[in-house]
Amino acid sequence: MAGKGNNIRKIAISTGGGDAPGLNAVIRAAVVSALHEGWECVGIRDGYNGLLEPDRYPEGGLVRLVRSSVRGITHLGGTILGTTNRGDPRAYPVQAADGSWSEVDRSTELVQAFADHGIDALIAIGGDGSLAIANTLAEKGLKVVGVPKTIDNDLEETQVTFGFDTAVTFATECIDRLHTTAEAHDRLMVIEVMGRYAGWIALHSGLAGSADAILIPEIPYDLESVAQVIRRREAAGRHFSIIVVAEGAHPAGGAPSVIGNDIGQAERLGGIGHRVAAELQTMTGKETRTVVLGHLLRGGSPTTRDRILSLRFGAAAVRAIREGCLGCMVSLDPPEVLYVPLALVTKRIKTVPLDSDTVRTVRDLGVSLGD
Amino acid sequence: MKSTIGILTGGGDVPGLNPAIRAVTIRALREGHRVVGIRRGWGGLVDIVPDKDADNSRNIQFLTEDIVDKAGRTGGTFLHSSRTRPSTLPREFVPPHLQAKYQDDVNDMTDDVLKNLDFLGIDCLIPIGGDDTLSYGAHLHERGVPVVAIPKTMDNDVPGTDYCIGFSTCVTRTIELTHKLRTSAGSHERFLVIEVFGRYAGYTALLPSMAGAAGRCVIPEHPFDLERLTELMVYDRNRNPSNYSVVLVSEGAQISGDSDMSFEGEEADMFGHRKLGGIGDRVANGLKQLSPKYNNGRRVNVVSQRLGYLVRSGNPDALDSIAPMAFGNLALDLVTSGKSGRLVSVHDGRYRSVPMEAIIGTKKVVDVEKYYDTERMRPKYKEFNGLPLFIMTSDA
Repeated sequence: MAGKGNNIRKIAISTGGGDAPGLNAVIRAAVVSALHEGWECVGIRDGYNGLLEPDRYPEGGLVRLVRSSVRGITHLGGTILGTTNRGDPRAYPVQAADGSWSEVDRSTELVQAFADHGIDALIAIGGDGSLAIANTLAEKGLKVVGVPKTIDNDLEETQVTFGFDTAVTFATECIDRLHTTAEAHDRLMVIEVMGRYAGWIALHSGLAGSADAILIPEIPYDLESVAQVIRRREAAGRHFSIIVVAEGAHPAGGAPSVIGNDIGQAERLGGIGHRVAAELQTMTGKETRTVVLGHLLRGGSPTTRDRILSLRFGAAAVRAIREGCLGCMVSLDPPEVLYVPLALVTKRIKTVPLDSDTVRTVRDLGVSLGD
Repeated sequence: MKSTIGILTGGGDVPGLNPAIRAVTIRALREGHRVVGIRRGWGGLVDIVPDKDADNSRNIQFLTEDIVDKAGRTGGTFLHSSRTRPSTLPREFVPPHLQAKYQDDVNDMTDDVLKNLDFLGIDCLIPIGGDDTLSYGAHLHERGVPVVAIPKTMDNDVPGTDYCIGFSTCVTRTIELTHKLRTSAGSHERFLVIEVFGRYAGYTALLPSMAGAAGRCVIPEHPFDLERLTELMVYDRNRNPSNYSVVLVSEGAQISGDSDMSFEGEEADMFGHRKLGGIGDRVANGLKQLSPKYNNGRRVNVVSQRLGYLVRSGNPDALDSIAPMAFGNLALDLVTSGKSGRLVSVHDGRYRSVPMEAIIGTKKVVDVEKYYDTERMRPKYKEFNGLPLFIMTSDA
C-alpha cells in the first residue's frame, strides 16, 4: 500500500475557527486511515499559526501524529491541535512597532511553507471561514480536502456538520432544566443560543425542548405576536413561557445585535436575548429572565451521532486524497459521504428553509416563530 | 390533635423544594393531618379572598399523596414561588378587594395575612425559603403563629445551618458545566472565566473550586487584586499542558478599590435587594487587558460564561433528594410535638433545629481566615480531620 495515491508521503491536519465536539474524532479517523495508507501525518498547531509563527511554539509548530497521539480521543471535546479564529492567512493580524494592528495576506507564503516541510496534502477541518481559506490554498496549488465543522450547521452542500448534534442535544437539555425555574416563578425565560446568522440550533432545540416561541434570523420577528402567545397561555392558566432566541435573530426592519468587531476576527453576535427579554417584560408585564447558553454549547463530549459522523468524515477525507479528489470537501448526503467542490461550499451560508418540514412542524404545534 | 398545616415556598427556586413538600405532606396525611399548599410563597396568603364562595384556586391547593408523589421527583416548586413580603407590599401588589384599605406606596398587610390564616384554619405554617422568606416567617411567629422553617437556597447563606436545600445540586451543576467549558478554553488556549450565582456568600464558587472545577476562585468575602489574579491565571495557564486556566467568580465578588459590588440594575425587590451580576465580564476584560504584562507581552483571550439559572434548574441530585426528606420529617416532628419558632438545620453533619431568631440580622458568609487562601486565591486544603461532610459551610 505504501506510496500509493498521488505519490502522497506526508499529510497535514489543521483545525480552525471555534472548537466543536467531534474535532478529535475527525483527527483520529484521518490519522489512523492515513497511517494505513503508509503516509506520515503532522498536525498544525492553532489553525495555521504553527506554520506561520513557528517561533511561538518551543516544541515546534507541527506535531507528528502517530497512533499513540490519537489513542482514546474520540470521545473528547475540543481539539488536541488547538485552534484559532484570529489567524486567517489571507488577512493575518500583524502588530506594528507603534502597537497598532493591521492585516496582511500571507497565503502564498503559507503554501510555500507546506512545500518546505514536505507536506503533500492538507486536511482542513473548519467552518465557512476555514474552508474559504482552504479554498484559497487550493487555488494556489495546494492539495486540500476540507471537513465541514460547525456547531451552527450553517454550511452549504452538506446535510449536516459535525458538532451540531451535540450543541442541539445540550441546548435541549438546558431548556428542559430551565422549565422548572420558569414554572416555579411564573416567569418568562428567554434562552439565547449560538448559531450565527442561521437558526438551526434555536429551531431544533426549541422544538425538542417544547419552547413556546422560537426566534430565528431567517424570520425577522414582531414581538407583539410572541406577546400574544404569552397572553393566551396566561389566560389558559399557564403562567410561564419559554422563548428560545438565536443569537442572530433580529426584529423586522432591524439588524442583529453585535457585541464585538475585532481586527482579524469575525463579527461577534450577542445581546439579543437581553433585548427580547426587556421588551417582552414591558409588553406583557411578566417577570422575565435571560440565560445565554454561549460557549456551553460547544464544550464537552460529542454525542454518538457526532462521533460517528466525525469518524466517517475523517476517514473519507483520507479516501479523497488517495483518490485524487482535491479542492473538495467531504459532505454528508445520507446514506453516502460525497466529495463536493470547496468553491461551492463557501459561496453563501446555509440558512433554515422556511418551507422545510421542521418549520412546518413547529407551526403545526402552535409554537410562535415571531411572525 | 389533628391539625391543618400550611406549606409554602418563597424566594428563588432550587431543586429539592418538591421533595421537601412531598416529605411533609405524605407523613402529615398518614398521621391524619390536613395539608394546604399556599401558592407563590407569601403571595398566596396576601391574595386570598376570605370568602368561602370565592375561587382561591390560584392561591391555595389542598395536597394529596398523588399530587406530591409525582412532583416530588422534579426540580423547581409546583406551588410556585415569589419574593412577596407582606410587611412591605408596594401598592401595585395589593389585591383588588383590599385596595380601599391599603393606599400607601408601601403597606404592611400582616393583619390580613393573619385573618387569612384563620380563614384557612391553618394551625401551623411551614415556610421553605432563604433568609428573606424565613424572616417574614419569624415575624409571623412573633405575632403568635406557630411556624417551623425549612432552609433552602443554592447560595447556602442561611445562618444557623450548615446546609440549605439546593446547594448540593448547584455545586454539582457548577462542576459539570465548568468541566464542559474546558474543551473550548483549551482548544483556544484562553482564560476561562465563569460567573456563578451566590449573592453575598462565596460558597458556590469555593466548594466547586475545592472539588477541582477551577484553579482559582474569587469570592465576595475578600475583595481581590485583579493584577494578582492575572499573574496567577498566567502562571496556571503556562503550567497546564493544554495551555488554559480557569477561575470561578462569585456574582458578589468585588475588585479591590471598587466601591460596591456589580449590579444588573437599580431595581430592588421587596426585601431591598438588587440583582447582582456583571462582575464576570469585568474580570474577563481586566484579565485580557492585563495579561500581556505577565505573559511576555502577549495578550491572552478569554472565554467568559455566566452559568446563571442553569445551576439551579432541573432535577435534584442525590443530596437534594435526601436532605429535604430529612428536613421535612424533622419539621413535622417539631410541629406534632407542639414546638414552633424553630428552623430545622444541619450542624456538624447532624440534623437538629435552632430558634428562628438565628436567621435574623446576619448573613452566613465564608470564614476567609479558615477556608480561603487570599494570597493564592483558592480554598485552603489543610486540616480536614474531624470536619463534617460539608466542610467550609459551617458557621459554628
